[in-house]
Amino acid sequence: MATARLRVLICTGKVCEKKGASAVESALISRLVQFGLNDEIKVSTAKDCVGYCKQAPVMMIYPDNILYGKVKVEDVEEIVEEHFLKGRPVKRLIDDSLDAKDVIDNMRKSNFFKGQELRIVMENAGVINPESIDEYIGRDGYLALGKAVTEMKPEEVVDEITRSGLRGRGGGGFPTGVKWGFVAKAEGEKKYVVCNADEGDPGAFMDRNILEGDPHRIIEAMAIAGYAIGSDHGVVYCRAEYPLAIERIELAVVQAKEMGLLGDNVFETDFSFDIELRVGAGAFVCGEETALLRSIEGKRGQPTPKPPFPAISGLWGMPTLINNVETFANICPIIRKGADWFASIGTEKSRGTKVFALAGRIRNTGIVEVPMGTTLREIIFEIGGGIPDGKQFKAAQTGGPSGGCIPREHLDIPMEYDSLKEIGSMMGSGGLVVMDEDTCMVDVAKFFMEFCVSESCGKCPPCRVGTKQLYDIVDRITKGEGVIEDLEKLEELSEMMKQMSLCGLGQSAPNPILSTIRFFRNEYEDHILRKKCKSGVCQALFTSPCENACPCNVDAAGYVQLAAEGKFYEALELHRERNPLPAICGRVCHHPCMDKCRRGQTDESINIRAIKRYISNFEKELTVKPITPTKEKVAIVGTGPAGLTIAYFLAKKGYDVTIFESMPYPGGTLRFGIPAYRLPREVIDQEVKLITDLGVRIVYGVRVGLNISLDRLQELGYKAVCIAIGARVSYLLGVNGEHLAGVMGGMDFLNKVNIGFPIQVKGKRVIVVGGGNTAMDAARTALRMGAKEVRVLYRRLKEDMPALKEEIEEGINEGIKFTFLVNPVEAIGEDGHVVKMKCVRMRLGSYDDTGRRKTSVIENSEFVLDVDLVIPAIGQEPETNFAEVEKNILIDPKYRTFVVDEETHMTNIPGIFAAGDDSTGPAMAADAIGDGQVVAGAIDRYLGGDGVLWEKRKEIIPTDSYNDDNYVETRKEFEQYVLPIEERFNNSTIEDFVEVERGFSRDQIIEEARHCLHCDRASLSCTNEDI
Amino acid sequence: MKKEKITITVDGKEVAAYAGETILDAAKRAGIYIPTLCHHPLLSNTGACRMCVVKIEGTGRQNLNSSCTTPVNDGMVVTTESPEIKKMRRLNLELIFSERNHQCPFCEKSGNCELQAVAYRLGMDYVRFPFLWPKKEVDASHPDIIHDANRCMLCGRCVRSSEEVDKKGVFAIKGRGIDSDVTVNIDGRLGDTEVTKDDVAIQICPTGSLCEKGLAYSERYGERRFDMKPIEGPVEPK
Repeated sequence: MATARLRVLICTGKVCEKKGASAVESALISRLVQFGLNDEIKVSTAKDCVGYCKQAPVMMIYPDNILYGKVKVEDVEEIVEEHFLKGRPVKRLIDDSLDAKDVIDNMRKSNFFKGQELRIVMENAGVINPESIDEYIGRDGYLALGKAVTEMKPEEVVDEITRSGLRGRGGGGFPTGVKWGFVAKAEGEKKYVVCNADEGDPGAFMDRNILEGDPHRIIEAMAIAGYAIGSDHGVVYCRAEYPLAIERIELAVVQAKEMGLLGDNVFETDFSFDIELRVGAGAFVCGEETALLRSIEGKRGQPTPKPPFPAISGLWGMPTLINNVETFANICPIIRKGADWFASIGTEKSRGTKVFALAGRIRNTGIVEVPMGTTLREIIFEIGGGIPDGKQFKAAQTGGPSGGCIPREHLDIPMEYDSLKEIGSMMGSGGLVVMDEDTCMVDVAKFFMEFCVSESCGKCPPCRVGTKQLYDIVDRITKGEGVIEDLEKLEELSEMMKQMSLCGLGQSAPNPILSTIRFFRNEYEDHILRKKCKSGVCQALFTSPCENACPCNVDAAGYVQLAAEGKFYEALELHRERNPLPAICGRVCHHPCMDKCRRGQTDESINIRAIKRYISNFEKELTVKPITPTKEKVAIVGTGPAGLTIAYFLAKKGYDVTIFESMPYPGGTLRFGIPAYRLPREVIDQEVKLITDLGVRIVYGVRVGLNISLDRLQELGYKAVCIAIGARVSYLLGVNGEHLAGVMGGMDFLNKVNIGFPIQVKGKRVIVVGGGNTAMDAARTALRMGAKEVRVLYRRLKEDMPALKEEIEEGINEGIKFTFLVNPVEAIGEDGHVVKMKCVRMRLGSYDDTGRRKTSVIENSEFVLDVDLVIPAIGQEPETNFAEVEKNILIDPKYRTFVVDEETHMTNIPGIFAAGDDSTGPAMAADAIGDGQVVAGAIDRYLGGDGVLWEKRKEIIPTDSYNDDNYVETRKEFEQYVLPIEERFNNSTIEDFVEVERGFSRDQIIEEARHCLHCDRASLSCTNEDI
Repeated sequence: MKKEKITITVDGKEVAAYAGETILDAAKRAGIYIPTLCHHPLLSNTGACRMCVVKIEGTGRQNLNSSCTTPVNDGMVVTTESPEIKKMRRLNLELIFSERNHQCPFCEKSGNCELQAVAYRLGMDYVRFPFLWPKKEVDASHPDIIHDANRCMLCGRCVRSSEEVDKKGVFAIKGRGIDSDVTVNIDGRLGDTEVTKDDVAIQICPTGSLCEKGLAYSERYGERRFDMKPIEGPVEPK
């Protein structure tokens, strides 16, 4: 090899190649020639994949250990001139998660590589040219074979492998040395060594990577195995889908033969070994060893029962050693460095490392090699970089179609054979598919069953018919046609297939179903009992993803499409069919519909909330006719979103509804928890009026439990009583001094301010503790009341704050100061009033189940802030004591919420229901409305009705604006008029808080709505053949 | 060569066996019935139908083994029947019955059908899975034989007997998984082959898939093979 000053390796793995690695390579070479650098700087023209596919195409510069990511042809000039000529690395091509100071050696400092410092199987990945035997030899290649055949007896080789604790990496985890021992002892006129390179799991590409990147490693290991068991013939069985791997293995065999490392008299000893390559036609079952052997023999690729095991009677009936690629890839280092070295890595029962192919909903996709026993959490969040787009982790699938799904609760599972098996999954060959909240686990089970149905060889009925029947059952469930007995049937049939199927494929095929039922039974039940797919995947169960995501089931696609036509009244009516509070929701809803909007996958989600707000403007002109009650009397306690919703639906059903409200005004938390600059009071009054116009009575100033008892309500003839009083009691901080004057809970503060209780804030220094919406509301309210300074303390980072993003941004714009990674530990008072707050700094630690990092206190980091008013807004609970005292109604001891029956939504006292925050715990307004709908249906059923509040839309909305061009058209900017900051503080009282967001114009709304992708058409066509 | 004699325990009973023979053969000699479908004494064993599965104790393995392919070992302890095994065999039969058209009242093999007889003997009297009803072509091209794939259970007896006994190699399995089928000379017609109605392949079909023409319903109810006595093993060719 010529000495080069620098070596450049351009990854030409599948992903990098697709993203233009070859073009970069040729551009680089011609540029180097142009500068006369082509002798000094060596470019590897065919290279091995380092596994960092996220940054594809990647370029690595040695010996600097610099990794450039996402390199384009245009970047080549800069790299050559700046880096190669002037020695200044191009910082902008370095993974942005790193600091600029980490440029040199950035490869090893990035999280992706840091977590996998120890590479055994992939020790040559990204380092050598796989088509050069010299480079392999330069990295200790064929040293192990030499050592084995010249210094060791065959049984010593077997013993070394046995002592290393290496287990089969194909998935089963059988001790490799023991298998070698069996074959070594077996009698036969000829023996074979077979390498199983028929990697067929969806999402798995580890073996391909090894074969393409380091083919000599496999050849050397097979020769060692041949020496150990007394075989002179090896067969590599590789699937036809891996043409590059096939090419490189073939080349490597030729090179090794030329050097006398294969063929007759290897290393001039008596040992001879030859390798042939067989190409499989891509049947998944041929990865099963007996089927693979039949395929090599030229027969139909079907498994045969074991015993006899291949070790006794394998290829052509002769003793055969069969190991997979990754197992062989471990052999040479074990022989070179010794069994003890290898056994020191990993866990007690699983030694060494494991290669995983990270795929799915994860930031850093690619190949990783980690010591056995590394936790799933480390692989996903540290190395993998977590889940993209702020979504939540739901499950990881290991072992492909034979494996199972690992849920959040088991993120700390060490990745090793036995612990994975214990929870119903398996190591498999190392595919690791990460799924986020948008994944439906029933759909996942269906996907894998579909795979098994098409890959079953068809020999035995449990697998041939069993997979089909399992698939059909799951398919019915995803279409909403499942019955609850199906779950039992699935489990029974799965159990039978596990025990009775002929080969591993059939025995493990039910694993995805069993593990999803085990960990995600609630999702199956949602599909079967409630006909709901919360992840928004199973199209037959909903009209559109936005409707499905809406806690109040509002037909968002429907009103958006009507709005696009300018049919705002119709849109409003469609909305009010399911939710009577569009003006309120149009301002404060946390819009989960927009998170699931499919338009968001192309450019940006449709701003559904803005459209809702616009159509709600037409409520002013709406009149409703009173409905004369014909049914029983129902009492509701509280005029919050839940209470109003129940009243609305029950009144429409003909019940005689009275709401008891302790305050003099309606709205509950909407009015007393949300400040007027977000939700003007007249908006609430207008929507409440439309409900009272229906005939609902509201009795103000009566506090149930104080002015009137629940018993009395029942005596007065209310056949059903529903308590919907919200959650208004703030949690305490649990620190010393929190009872001092000047410390006031967030909800308490907002309530008092909104009632008009005089609280002196002017000129004060205010500290708000917490990161939720209540914290932001309290902070912005305090600012409007003339606080000198408002500071929000949060123990995590800004991106972890649960408050709505737009609220945080507006808060920053208005001048609120934020201090992150701090926690208050003590309120210090003078004369009974708080004057200082002692805080500690927090450090970020490992990741928790939600993908946020845990925090811990940094010792000796205390500091003190001067303060006049402290507002802890760290959560709240309902005030349910009165019901417990009066009627022994069951209360959850921890959350203080009412305990209600899942089906009837009734408390333990017949006729008394609970809805909204006081039964679900603190949630969003839309969640309370959604719960109100459920409880309204339950009350109707309790009183003898059918509980049906609306009909599902079955037809598409005829629109003129529906046009394929809308899909591809570039979106116009969609910005609303926001009150300028200086005008926000011109208030004298809290009632004068001016609304900040001012909505959109008619043209803007129509333009925005026109870009709806009409997902409902696809869903409706699943269930309605006429469309 | 004299076979080495060993002892195994089958369902708690000590049974003499020859080294190398299968559990099924040893059990049969001892008078223990294990249901079979794809197995036939004239043919090689493939372990395909899974009816003959038994539990081999002390292996630590969860799955059951097919007794027609598993050789005996000295001291082996085998359970051929337990409520659990019986339940699974019945479930297996349910799957087979659900796969194609196995509606006995409309089948001329009824009463002489091994599949039906095994189902009776195991008490499989209903199928809880939806019938898949694939529509397969009926091949009546042969003057003496009807090949109705709708009644096939893919045991592979015809494939093996045509190759191993009749030495004609007429049948083969094509396709994969639920789309597997018995094919004649790769998508050919039975009438174009040298198969005769006396071929073992035709005689030992356990279902109504391969039938001799002209015999349909010729035996009266009560006089058919399995009317008087439950099945005890595979039928023998004429």
